[in-house]
Amino acid sequence: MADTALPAESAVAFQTPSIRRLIILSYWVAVIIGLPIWLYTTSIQRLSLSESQVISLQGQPVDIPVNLYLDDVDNILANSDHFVRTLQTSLQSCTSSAGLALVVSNAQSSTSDYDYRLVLKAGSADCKIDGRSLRWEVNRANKASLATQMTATLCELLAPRSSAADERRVVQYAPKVRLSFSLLNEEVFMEDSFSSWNMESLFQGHVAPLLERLSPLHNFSVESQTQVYAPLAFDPQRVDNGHVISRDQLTVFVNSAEWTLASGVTTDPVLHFLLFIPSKEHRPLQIESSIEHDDYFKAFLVPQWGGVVIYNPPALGQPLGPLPDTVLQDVLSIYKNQLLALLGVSANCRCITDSSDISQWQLDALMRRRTIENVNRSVDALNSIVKVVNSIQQMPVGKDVREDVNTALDALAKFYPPLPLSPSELLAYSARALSTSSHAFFNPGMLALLYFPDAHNYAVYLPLFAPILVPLFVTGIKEFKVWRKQRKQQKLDSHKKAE
Amino acid sequence: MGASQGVVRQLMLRLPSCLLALLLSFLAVGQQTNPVDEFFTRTSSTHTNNWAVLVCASRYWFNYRHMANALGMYRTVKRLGIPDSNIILMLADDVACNTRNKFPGSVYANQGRRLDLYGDNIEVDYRGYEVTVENFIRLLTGRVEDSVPRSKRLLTDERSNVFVYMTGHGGNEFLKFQDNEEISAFDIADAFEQMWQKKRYNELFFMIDTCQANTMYSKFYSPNILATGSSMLDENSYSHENDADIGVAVIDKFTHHVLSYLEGINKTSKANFKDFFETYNFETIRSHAGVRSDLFDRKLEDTLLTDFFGGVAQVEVMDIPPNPSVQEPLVKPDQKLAQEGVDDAFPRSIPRQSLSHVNPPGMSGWRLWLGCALMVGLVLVVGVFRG
Repeated sequence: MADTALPAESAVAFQTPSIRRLIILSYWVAVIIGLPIWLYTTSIQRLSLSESQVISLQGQPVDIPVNLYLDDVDNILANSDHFVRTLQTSLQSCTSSAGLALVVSNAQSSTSDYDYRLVLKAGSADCKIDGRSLRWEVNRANKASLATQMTATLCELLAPRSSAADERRVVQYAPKVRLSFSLLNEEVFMEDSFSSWNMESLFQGHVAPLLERLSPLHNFSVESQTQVYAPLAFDPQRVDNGHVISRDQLTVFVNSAEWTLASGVTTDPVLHFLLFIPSKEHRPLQIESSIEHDDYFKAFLVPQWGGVVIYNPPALGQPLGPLPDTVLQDVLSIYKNQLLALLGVSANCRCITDSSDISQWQLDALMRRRTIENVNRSVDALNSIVKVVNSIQQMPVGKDVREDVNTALDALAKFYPPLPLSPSELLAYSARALSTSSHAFFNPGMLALLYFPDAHNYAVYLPLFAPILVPLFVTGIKEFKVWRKQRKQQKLDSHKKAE
Repeated sequence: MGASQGVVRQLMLRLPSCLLALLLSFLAVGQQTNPVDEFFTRTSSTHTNNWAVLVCASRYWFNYRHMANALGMYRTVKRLGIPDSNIILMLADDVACNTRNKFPGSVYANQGRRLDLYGDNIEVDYRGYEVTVENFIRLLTGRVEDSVPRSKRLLTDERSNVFVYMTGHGGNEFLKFQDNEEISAFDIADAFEQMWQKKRYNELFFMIDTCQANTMYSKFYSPNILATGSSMLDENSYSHENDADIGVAVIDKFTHHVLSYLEGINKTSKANFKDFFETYNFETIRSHAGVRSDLFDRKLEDTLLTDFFGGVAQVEVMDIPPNPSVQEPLVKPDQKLAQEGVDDAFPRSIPRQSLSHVNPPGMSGWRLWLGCALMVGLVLVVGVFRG
C-alpha cells in the first residue's frame, strides 16, 4: 500500500525530499540552539554567598577582652596575688554573662589607654572614678571583706545589669540619631503661654557637651519647633486643685494625630522631647501616680520614643513671651536624664565621679554592650539573608550583595576572636558590620520575582507552543519514517542489482 | 527590573514546570503551613510602636468604595493613635479629584455623606501609578532604593506591631493591582516571611476585603501573624450602600462592619479580638468572614484591638526632685511603670525557624526532566498514530 502511495506523494511534492528535509532540520536546529540560549538568558543571577562562614558565626559568643590592673599604692594587701585571683573569680559570673573576657592582674607598666586601673589607697572607705581608673580608699580596719565590697561596684561599672524595663526602654542602636525638641502650648491665651524658647543658646551650654561625650556612640542631629495649639485628645480628670491625667490617659497623652511631630527629613531614628504647657483651665495638670509631689514639672518617658515634660507655670499673668531661661534649664536637665535613659546609659554607681555627666566607665560599658548587640544583630541579618536566599529560589543575588556580605564578614572577623582594640574602635567595626549586613539584606536588587500559579503559566504558554510543537514533531517523525523506508528500498534495490 | 519584564521572565522560567504539572496534575503539591510551637502563651503585647499599611489596589471611578474603605481605615487608625508618620497609605487612584466626583476634594463612605474621609489632614504616601505589586513588596521587605523618602518606608523593628489592610478586586489567591497586575497569596506570604527573618515585626495583623479574601491568608507561614478576610473561597464580597449623588457604591460591607465596630472604641479601650471576631455574621456582611489565628501565639481574648489599631501604650513616670537643677541620678530606681505587666517583658518567644515552607519555586531537577520526557513522549505517540 505504502509502496504505491510513496512515489505518488514525492511526485506531487514541489520540493525535492532533500530540500524538505533541510527545511525541517533547520527548524530543529533553531529549537536546539535556541533552547540553551533561552534558558541562559532567562536565568536569574544568583551568586554564591560565603554561606558556611556565615552559618559558623551563628551562636558563637563574643568575648570582648577587658583588662583590670590592681595598683596597691599603699601596700595594703598582704598577698596581692591572692587578692587578684579572688577578684577574678568573683567577677567572673557578672562579666562573662555580659560577654566580657575579664583579666585581673597586678599593676604593670600599663599596656594601653583603655585598660582599667584599680588604685587602692589608705583612707576613709570611699571610691572615686577618674577616667578609666577607680581610686578605692580602704579603711585598714575592715579590709577582710574588701573583695566582696569591690565585686558589686566593679560588676556595676564593668557590666551593668539591664532589667526587662531597661530592655524595653532603650532604643535600638543606630549610628545616627535625630533629636527633636518641641514646645507645645495646649492653647494660647493672652497670658501664661510661651511663644518661643531660647533653645538654641541654652542647648549649646547644657546638652551639647553631653552629646559631644556620646559622640563615639552616635552622631546626633538636632531640631526644634514651637507649636501654639496642641490640644489633648482626652479630658483630664478634674480634682480639687487642678486636673489629673490617669494612667490610661497617660499612655495616649501624645496626640500624634494633631501634633505634627514627625520629621520627614531623615530615615534615622528620631527621639522626641516634648515640653507641654497645659491650658489655663487645666492647670495645674498632674500625673496620677506622682500627684503628691506638688511642683511645676511632671515628666514621663515613652519607651523607645522620647520624653515628655509637663510644665505648670505659676500664675503670674506674664504676657505671651519666651519661656524663661531658668525654666528651660531645668527642663533641659530632665531631658538629659531622659536621653541617657533612652540611649541605655547605666545608672551612676555610688562612687564619686568626675564632673562630667557620664563617666568613662559608663560610656565604655555602653559601648561594649552596643558592640555585642550589633555583632549579634549583624550575624542574625547575615543568617537571614542566607536562609531567605536558599528558600526563595527566584531571588536574585547580585555582586553588590556579595560585596556587602563580605564586608560585613570582614568587620565581624575582628570579633572572632576579638582584637584588643579600644571600645570605640570595636564599636565602629560592629556598626560597620551591622550597616553592611542590613544593607545587603535590603538590597533593592534582591526582590524575588513574583509567583504565578501554574494555571496562569499554561494559559500563557500552551496557545503559544502547542501549535508549533505538534507539527514539528509530527512532520519530523513522518519524514524520518519515509527516509527509513527509502533507505530500505535502496538497500533492497542494490541487493537485487548485486544478485 | 520592571515588573512586567519580571513577569515575562518568570513565565518563561516556569515553562518546564508548567508542562509537567499539566501532565501530572495529580501531583498537585499541597501547601502546608507549619504550626508554630508555643513555648508559652503571652498575655500582654510587648511592642513599643505601631505601624499600619493600608492598600487600596484598584483604580477607576466605579471603584470609589475601595478608596473609601482604605480612607476609612486610615481615619480610624489615626484616631486611635497611630501617627501619620507610621501609616503608609497606598491609594491606586484619586477619586477625590476625579472629574466625575460631584464633591471635589471629598470622599465619603456613607449615604448622606456625613463624614468627609479626605478631610484637611491626610497624607497619601503612594498614589496612583505608584501603587504596584513591586512597590508594595518593596515596602514590606524594606528593599527600597536609597532615594526613597522616609514617608514611603516601613521603618519597623522587632518591637513593631504592624497592621496590613488591603482592599480591591481579587480572586482565589490573588488580588488585582491597578487592573493590570496581581499579587498572589504566595508573594505576600514570602514578603511576611522576609519581614520576620529580618525582625521587622513583633506581631502582624492582616486584614483583607476582596472577593474570596480568605484565600489570601491561606499561604502564610511566618509566626505571630493574625489574619482576617471578608469572604470564603468562591464567595463574593459585596458593597454596602450607594449614594445617589455620588452615583456609585461608597463602601464595602465587611469594611463597613469593621469600621462601625471600631467607631465604638477609643484609644484606651480594652476591647479584644475575640469579641471583635465574634461580631462577624453572615446577615450583615453577606459573606463568611474568616479568621486565621493558628500562627498567632497569644490568646485572642488577651489581644486588644488597640495593639494593632492604636498607638503604643507604655509610659514610665519619672519622679522629678523639687529642684531639678541639682545633679541627680540618671535613672531613678523608683521609676514607676504606668502600665501593668511592663516588668515581665518577654523575650521574643519563638525561635526563628528555618524556612519549612517554600512555594514551589522551579521544580526540582528530576521532576523537570520527567516532565519534559513525558511531554516529548506524548507528542511522539500522537505523531506516530497520526502518521
